[in-house]
Amino acid sequence: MSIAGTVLIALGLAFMVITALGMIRLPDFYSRVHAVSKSETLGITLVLFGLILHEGATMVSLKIGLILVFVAVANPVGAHLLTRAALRTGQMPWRRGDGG
Amino acid sequence: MNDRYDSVILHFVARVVMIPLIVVFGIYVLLHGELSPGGGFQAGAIVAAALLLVRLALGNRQAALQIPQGLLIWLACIGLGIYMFGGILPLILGANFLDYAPIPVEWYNKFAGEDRTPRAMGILIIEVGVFLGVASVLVLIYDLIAGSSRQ
Repeated sequence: MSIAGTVLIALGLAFMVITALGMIRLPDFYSRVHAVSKSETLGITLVLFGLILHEGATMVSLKIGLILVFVAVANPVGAHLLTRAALRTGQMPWRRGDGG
Repeated sequence: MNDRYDSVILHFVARVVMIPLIVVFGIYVLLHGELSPGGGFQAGAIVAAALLLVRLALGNRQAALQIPQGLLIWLACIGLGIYMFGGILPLILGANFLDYAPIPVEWYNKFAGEDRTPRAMGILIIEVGVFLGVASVLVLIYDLIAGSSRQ
């Protein structure tokens, strides 16, 4: 159980590193939000799930599960609102040859 | 929120998931204030965050229907009054200011089936006052700065 939790935490951290890489490397706002919303949600979900496996069936792991639900709901909605606002204020997506 | 950026996903998530969960968690933090990390100020900040989410996500008109500005001022004053009550009640019962030892708790313990000490009871009274004051004043500051006071 503990080993499985550690593996999940490591996997989640790897996803977070990929997220940070995407923030730096991707060219425009939309693709950066794409990187953050998807892989960061998955990364933090895996980390929290690994912590639940470490903890076992206690009150603390119930609280961690609540945090998990909270983050898994809030993060995609935030990304959705950001991209929506950007599109409606006229932010153009990146095309090949735009530089950057 | 501005109509231009409105979103049905945001409405659903804010209304069904976020705001009830945040308010319940705030009250949990309030009621566990004297035993565990938490307390009146923290619970007030959390509940104020829920009320600000109503203002940001669902619009000022709905927020004003929910809790108008005049009610916020009243709640802040009531919170201060509860704090002063918690301080002066021991003074009336023959102890120092804010010295909770003589507060009667037997009726409450019989009613709720707990064994709460007088000091825990006094702290709870103070925390409820701080909670009301902090929550309503934080939302009031936002309302005044964001200029929704004319509604």
